[in-house]
Amino acid sequence: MRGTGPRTLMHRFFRTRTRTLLTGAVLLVLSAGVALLVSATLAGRNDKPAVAARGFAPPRQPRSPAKFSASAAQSPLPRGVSVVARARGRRVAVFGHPGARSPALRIAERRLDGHRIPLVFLVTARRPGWIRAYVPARPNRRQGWIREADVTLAQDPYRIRINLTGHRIEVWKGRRIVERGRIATGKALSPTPTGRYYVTDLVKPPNPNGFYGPYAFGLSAFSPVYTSFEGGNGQVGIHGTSDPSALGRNVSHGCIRVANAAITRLARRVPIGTPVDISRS
Amino acid sequence: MSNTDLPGFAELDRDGAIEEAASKVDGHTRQAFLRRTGAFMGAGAAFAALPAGAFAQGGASKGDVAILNFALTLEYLESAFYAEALSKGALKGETKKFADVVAAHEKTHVTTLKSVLGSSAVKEPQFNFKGTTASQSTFQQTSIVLEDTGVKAYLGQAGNIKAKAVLKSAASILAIEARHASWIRNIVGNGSSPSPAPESFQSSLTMSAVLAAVQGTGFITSMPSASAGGATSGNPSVTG
Repeated sequence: MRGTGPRTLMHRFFRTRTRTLLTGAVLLVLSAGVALLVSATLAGRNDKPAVAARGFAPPRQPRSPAKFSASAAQSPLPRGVSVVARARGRRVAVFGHPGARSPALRIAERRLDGHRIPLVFLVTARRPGWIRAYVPARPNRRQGWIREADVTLAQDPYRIRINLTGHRIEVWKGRRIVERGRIATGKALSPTPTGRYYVTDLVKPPNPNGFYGPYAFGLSAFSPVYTSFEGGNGQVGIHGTSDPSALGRNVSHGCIRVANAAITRLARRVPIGTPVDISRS
Repeated sequence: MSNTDLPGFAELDRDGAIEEAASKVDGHTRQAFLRRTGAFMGAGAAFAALPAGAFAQGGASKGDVAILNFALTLEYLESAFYAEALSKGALKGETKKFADVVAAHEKTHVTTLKSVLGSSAVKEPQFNFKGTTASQSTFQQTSIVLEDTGVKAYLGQAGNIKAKAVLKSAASILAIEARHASWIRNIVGNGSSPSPAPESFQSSLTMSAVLAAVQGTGFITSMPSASAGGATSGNPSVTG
């Protein structure tokens, strides 16, 4: 039997009152939320999308950019890709460090039978306004700093690996080998120098069946023995051959000889500036 | 939008009333107004409010210049993409028509943004579209991504733009990019999937998110590729 005394009635009154107040508060909060959403939607404020695409999630407040450089959209160079610098003019000043007052060296473009040979460098580091690069000068593997304004830069996915002991050449494009073959290398008295070098020029001899074959790449490497050779300064190269039976042996004056078919493919594929790594194994 | 879909400026304003009103408001001569409007017609009338080179003289906030250069970079990307696709000659039918129209729009966006930014405009980067322009199907898929990204990028910056004229101009380009996105989506999905209008509300992307996405494509490269060949004829002098 339900109680009807004053105490019981008072309890019932307060329970009912509390439930009503709670219900009202919830409705009030919900109404306010809906009103805010509707007003925000109708207002169409352009600093915040009125409603997010999914689930009415609060949008992230955009931040005003202070500056923008197109380089921010550039993709970084992939692994295995080199940077090659080509001189804008006919000579380039090479400095000992960025901002040095006077150059340590000036390198001029060469001419071959009246034809200009482009002046190219292999970049090893960059600073604002400057590049550090291997240069085609003695001693071997010489580097210096060049004003970036003096060159144009290009990316090169190729690199050449020379294994002197195994008498093998490998040409890589990115992460895959695109050419491999047997080579002849320097004999004991005129060894092929080891280390990192790069392709400095490509010459097409008048006789494709002659001593140098159809093409000869000049490298930034110099013979440790010869300071002059056939009118040159002892520059080491990669070229074809009129004697393919010598491939696989140490017979050259320091150059790397490859099959004529291989040097022809390389001439069509490998850009000037491509790195050449020469090692004993 | 095809140029034949709507009347040109001269047909719309036969009696010259709009030109006269505008010249009074701006204090420009009728001839100057016509010249300026002609330069900016491609991007819509909103750009007429922005004189050429205005931003090069410090006439806008750094933020607005940054946003316009951000937009210009995306327009460079799109413009180069459509130009390369058309030069490859692999497109046909409605896709070819789409590329013809959109290429002209994107080129106009580039010209206009460069004109407005003047010497403050960023230089055009190098591009490598990695063969995506060589076939119709890869072109279509890439186009959808580029146009969708363009829409989200413009929308993402809308709240950051301070100058009303810039905001109107960006909005006029945003609308066109949205039309492009819907058009190519409709070509590919034939009205179903992908849907030409997939959402009730367009989502946006922040500048950093757009840049990360563009970087991910590898389409904008830091420098051109070195090319092989160019042998010099002569007698070699290497050691042999």
